[in-house]
Amino acid sequence: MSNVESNDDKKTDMETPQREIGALEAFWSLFSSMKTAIALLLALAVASIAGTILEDKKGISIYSSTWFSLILVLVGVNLAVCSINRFGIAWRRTFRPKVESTPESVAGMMRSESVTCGGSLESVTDQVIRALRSRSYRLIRQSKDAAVSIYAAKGRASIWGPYLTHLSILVIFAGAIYGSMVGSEGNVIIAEGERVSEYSSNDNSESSVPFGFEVALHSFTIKNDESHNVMGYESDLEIFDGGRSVARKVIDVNHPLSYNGVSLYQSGYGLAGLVVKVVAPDGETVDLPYNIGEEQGEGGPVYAISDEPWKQFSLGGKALILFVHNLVPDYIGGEMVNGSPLPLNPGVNLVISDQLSNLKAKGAWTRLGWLTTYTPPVTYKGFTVTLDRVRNYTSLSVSRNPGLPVVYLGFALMVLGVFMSFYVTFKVVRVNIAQPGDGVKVIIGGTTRSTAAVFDKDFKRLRDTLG
Amino acid sequence: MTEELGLSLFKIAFWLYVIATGGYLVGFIQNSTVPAKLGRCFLLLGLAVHTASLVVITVAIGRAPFFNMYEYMLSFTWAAAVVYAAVELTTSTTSFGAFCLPVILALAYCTDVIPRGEIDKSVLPVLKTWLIIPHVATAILAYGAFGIALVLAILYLIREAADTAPGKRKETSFWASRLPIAQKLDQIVYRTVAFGFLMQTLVLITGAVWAQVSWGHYWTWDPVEVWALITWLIYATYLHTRMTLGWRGRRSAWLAIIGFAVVGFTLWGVTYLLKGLHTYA
Repeated sequence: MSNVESNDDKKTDMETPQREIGALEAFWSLFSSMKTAIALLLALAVASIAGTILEDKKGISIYSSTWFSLILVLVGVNLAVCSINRFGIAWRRTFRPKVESTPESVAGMMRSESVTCGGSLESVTDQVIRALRSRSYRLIRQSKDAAVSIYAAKGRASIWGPYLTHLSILVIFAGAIYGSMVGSEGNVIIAEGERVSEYSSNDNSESSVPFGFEVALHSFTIKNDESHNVMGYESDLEIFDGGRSVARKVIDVNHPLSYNGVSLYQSGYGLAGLVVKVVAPDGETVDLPYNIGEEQGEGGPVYAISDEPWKQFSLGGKALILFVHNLVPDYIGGEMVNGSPLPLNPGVNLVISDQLSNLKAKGAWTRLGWLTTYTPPVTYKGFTVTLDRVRNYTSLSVSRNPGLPVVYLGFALMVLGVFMSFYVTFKVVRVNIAQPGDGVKVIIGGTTRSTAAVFDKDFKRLRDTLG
Repeated sequence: MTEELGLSLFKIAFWLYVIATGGYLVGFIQNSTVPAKLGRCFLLLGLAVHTASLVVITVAIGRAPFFNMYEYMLSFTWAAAVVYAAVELTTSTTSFGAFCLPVILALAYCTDVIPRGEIDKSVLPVLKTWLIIPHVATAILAYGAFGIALVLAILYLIREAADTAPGKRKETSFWASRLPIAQKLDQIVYRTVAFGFLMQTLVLITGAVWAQVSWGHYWTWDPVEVWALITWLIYATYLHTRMTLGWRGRRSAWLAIIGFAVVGFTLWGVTYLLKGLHTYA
């Protein structure tokens, strides 16, 4: 044995070996930190606030920008790293807890009591176990050196609550990413009586995307109440796949139609066309269809006849010409004439003439006035003219989102996770039973993240049982 | 069962809340339980009548009273009163009434002042779905809870300040002899926030499902959606700082207070200060 301290000893006392921390380790350490998590939560909140203000004041949307997406990615990474890191701990706490205890360690728990009673070590242990089982605890017992340690737990699901909540966020992110990569959104306009097989995509290309089936609009209906307010509107749709009818549904704003992973949502509507009917004195009739086009005006869409507003026709032996002088979407008469930009009651102002050879002559034209689908027929030289029907079009939002079931799963997991985190209480009761001399000494301890009061009934049951 | 009956019942509930407020205030100032317990009786009575008024109005108009700012305030006042009653009954404390009831009374007064509105007859088609019920019900409970948490957090700060004020005999100071100990107040704020957080999670999810069913997009970064999310994030921060950083007391209380500023913007700022599809008025 040497009395001289070796240099080696000195070195280990003074220096801690400095390991090199690799990039992966630094990354892991940063992203498993709770402070990082909180910083990211706040960053996301601040960025979102900035987003709403920018949108309101400048009309810019930042939510699909790279840096916002980066924050979301970092949140996802942080969640994933923290979850992986803490999995082992959660697993051990649930399935491999430390059972062995000492009287001192149990006495030092959040709440503890001590009872001395008669009987044997075995009989008292049995009583304790029965009492705890009657309070729905799950137990593990361990005997060592003539002492018994009991570990009892209840509400272990609570341990997994935060886990499940965080996992659910990752599931939602996964569903959202998958949906945006593989899914598509767009919209389609179908006029009454029309059948379409493609929709136009919402992405920058605005290209036509085939449905893979056909969608037909049978009829479009606007429901009003007496005071002319729109109560709702619905489209009677039918889907044909390979020529066969596979689905038929009247959809409205809250009831979409889905087929083959594609969903059709009622989004809007407008005027597509109208038909003026003329009846000759001899009963012969003719339907004069007009197509309506629209442009976006300041107050809403502005409608006008998109093809020739003059229609020449022969009926009942006469040659006539009908001219649509004016078109309004919501005829209410009086001075205002038009009530709203919504196509609630389309009206046409017509003039007619039978003097085809000299249309410019004075008195060649007769005004028929405003017609709607409700106005009675107007007569002209024995002919009756009506606005027979209006063709609407429906505007549908089209969405294919294969990620949706994943997102919904995430929602369900999140609700479960939050509930488990806050409404299931994880309680641990430890009991140390020993027979130091006369009588059996039982030390009971309880610990929980909630308050000590949650053990009132458990401890009372134990006290009552042990007498 | 007419709307007028429902509105009259609400007026009665309002006056019951007024008496309750009086009872709580007297009880608090005099540090006496009898007027406070009387306050509790009138609170519960007022709540019963308020519930009746909501039921009558629902039957009379054929739908839940969630559709315009007036109806929303009528329901929100009810939710705040329900949350407060739950807090009082589960903690067996009457001392908060003197502070929470005036807030509930203020909400009830605001409800009375907002005009009933012309648009109750023609309801926007998108609102005609059963999904509005869980969405608005969880929203009023969430914001009611966050509002009560705000009051309790302020009471915590008051009690803590009284406890740490210089001088002797702190245990018998005005505040200390009337409010529960600071640690208990802190715990009650936490449990109220936790309930609000569960509700807010449901608000976001039911809103997303409704948006998907109506518009085909479960999330569009619309201002109201974003602010509801920000609310959720702030209270998530509150919960995380407590559960993993061990924050308690003053720092937590301040977070609960800041959280309600965010709730305020979500409820009123978005409607009145920003434009968007999802306005409440």
